[in-house]
Amino acid sequence: MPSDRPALGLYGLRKRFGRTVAVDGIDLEIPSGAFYGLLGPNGAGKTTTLSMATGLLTPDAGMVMVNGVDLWKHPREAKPMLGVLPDGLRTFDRLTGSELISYAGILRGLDPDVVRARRDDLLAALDLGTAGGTLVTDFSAGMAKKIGLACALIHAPSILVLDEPFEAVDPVSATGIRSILQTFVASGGTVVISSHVMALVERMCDRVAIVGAGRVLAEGTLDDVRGSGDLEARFVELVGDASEQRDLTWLQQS
Amino acid sequence: MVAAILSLRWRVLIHQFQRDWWRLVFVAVGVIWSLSLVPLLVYGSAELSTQSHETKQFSLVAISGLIGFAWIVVPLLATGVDDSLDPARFAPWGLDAKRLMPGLGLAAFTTVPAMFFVAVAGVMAATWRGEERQSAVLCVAAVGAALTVMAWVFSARIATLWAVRLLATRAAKVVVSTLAALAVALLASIVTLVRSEGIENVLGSEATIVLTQWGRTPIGAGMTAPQSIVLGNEWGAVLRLATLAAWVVLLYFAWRAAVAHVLVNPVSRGGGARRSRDAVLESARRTGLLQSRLTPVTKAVLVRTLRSWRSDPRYITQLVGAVVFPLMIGGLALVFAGDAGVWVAALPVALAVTIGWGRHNDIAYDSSGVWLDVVSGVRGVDILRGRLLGVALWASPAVVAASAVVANLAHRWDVFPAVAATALGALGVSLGVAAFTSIAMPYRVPAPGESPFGADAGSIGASLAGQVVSSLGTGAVVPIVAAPLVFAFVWGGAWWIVALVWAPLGGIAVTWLGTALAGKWYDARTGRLVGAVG
Repeated sequence: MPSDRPALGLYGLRKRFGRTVAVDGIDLEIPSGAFYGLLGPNGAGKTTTLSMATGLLTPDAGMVMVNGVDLWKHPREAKPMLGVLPDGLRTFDRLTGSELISYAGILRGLDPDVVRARRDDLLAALDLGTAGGTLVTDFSAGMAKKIGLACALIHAPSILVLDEPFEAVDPVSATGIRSILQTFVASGGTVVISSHVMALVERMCDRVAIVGAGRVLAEGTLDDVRGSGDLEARFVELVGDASEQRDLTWLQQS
Repeated sequence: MVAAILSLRWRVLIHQFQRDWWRLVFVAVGVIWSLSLVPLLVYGSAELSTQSHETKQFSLVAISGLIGFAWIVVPLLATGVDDSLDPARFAPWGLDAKRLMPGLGLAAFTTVPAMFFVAVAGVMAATWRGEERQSAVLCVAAVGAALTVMAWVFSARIATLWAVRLLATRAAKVVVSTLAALAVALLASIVTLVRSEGIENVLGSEATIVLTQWGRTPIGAGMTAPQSIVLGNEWGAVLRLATLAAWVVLLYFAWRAAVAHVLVNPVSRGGGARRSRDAVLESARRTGLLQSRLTPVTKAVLVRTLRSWRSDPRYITQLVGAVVFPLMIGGLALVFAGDAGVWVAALPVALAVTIGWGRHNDIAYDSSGVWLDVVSGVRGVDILRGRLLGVALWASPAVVAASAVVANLAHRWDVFPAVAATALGALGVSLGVAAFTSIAMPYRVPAPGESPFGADAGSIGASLAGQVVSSLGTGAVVPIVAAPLVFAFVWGGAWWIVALVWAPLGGIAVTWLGTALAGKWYDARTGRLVGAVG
């Protein structure tokens, strides 16, 4: 039963790197039980926003509330409620897939017997059975993504924040992951994903936000944001189209 | 292609200076230091030029051999070498090694060390002035010096590329251990020989034989060819230069082959290893004497830290560097200082401090996984103690063994307990300081899978600052635990007992306090750490 209090609330988040303003005052309230899509072009500030929302990057200003708990003031209470899959960050590559999931479970304070059972479940569910004994350093990009997802799920958090979770993942595995996430939301969990793939977001998410230049350009239910057209058209309309793109005639073969 | 590569190197250099002005200071300090050595070199050359041609030959062969050795060893032991023209970075452009090599070869001579040693070789060649047939002798000396510099530079590049390749294989541990054992055995043999025969006798007999034979190899031929002219043996000079030239060509092709391999063989990072055991879970269940006193998080961090020390090329190169430098310096001290008691104490303590100081950027080596620790909300002190224990478990036996070795060589087993205790204390306090600086001033290091010998663009200034601060911190704290041992050597008596007790207690106290304080700082800085090291 979704509560009125947002699962994840971002209020006035700002972040600047030198002269570059990456996030310029983002306000978002993500309801409990939502499958939420964060959309934006490259460099829009999606990863920076999600990093600040999960305790990976200190905001210059603003507040992050996780189920009503201030993440940056009370991280020990807030972080256990979050499962995080960052994009572009490596992980302990000298552990095997099994050991990495166990490591994440131990960090989350789980009993070793619980960790063992959940680890085996996750390896099977994410089609990582043969990868359990392989060093993470030898994983393909898709396998690394899936093992990262397993680490985010091991402690059964109430909110999942996943940055580009389907990037480099093969279609069969993606179907499996989608099913896991949809079941999680159906049971009352909250999922926040960032993605560039509009079709994927339209298929999975019930609410979306489009960000550009570090600001929220549109936010609401999927139908509210896309209006009468499709999501891609609305996205291009908001963040700018490619009409100015130069015609590369020299690239044409005939 | 040559112009393109040289231009690329120049452009990368400019961008690095623009991004991190400290890098320019670093280069300027290197240039000033190099220039400050020139008068000394010229003076030494002038002095040597008045000696007999035999003395010149032996001296130049010895110097050339030491420099050549340093060109191979230093880039392998001292990480942070400029890697702006790492051949692996050219892989996406589909260029073959044959086209790349002329540019890479010339660019290799555009670094400050290469330019400095070109000047050094020139000064060495000028040492042959004053001999009969001076023009011919100097001409041969110049050619020999030029070829010798090429051999130094090419050898360094090959050594680094081969080391990267070796460290990525499963045989790395065996090969590195064997080489380390051989180096220690060689050093111990030299120390034993010098101590039994005396330094004068060794220089007069064994060293002369070694240098004579060394001069006949391609590596020393450039320095001995001028003597052949002095002795009227022109064909001998030609033969020596031809041998050296052939060696340089061989090195060039070996380098080209290594570059060709790098272009189409990305480093196989895990060596294909598979493990059926889950060491993290097994450790969580253990209830031994040590494990029962550790938190589950510390135990898990300890497992992965020990795994890194065993299998990550970046850690292995650091381990070798931390152990080899003090051993080399200590070995030289034992050779020249005999059994003076101070060296007995200094070597193990220096080894301990080097290992501890080397961890001043420890968290950066953990860059690949800091995010997982941070999002999990664990306490920093548990992370830091797990990582510190991962060092202490191999470093403590190492410093005790070093104490035993030097006590045996110096026939001073009476001081062994106090020396070993002080070395352990010094290890503890330097690790405590390092825990603090690794949180306060982290700087980027090569990521897993990158060349462990490279430096991240823009990290030089931060690394210089971090190293200076950690050196000052370590230098301020180590005397507190080492003082009783010094007093014991000076005044004896009860100070031996004080040293035995005080140093380990001090080490434990500083380690505990250092990790506790650093842990609190870690907790306060989690939102900055990932960006600082990732």
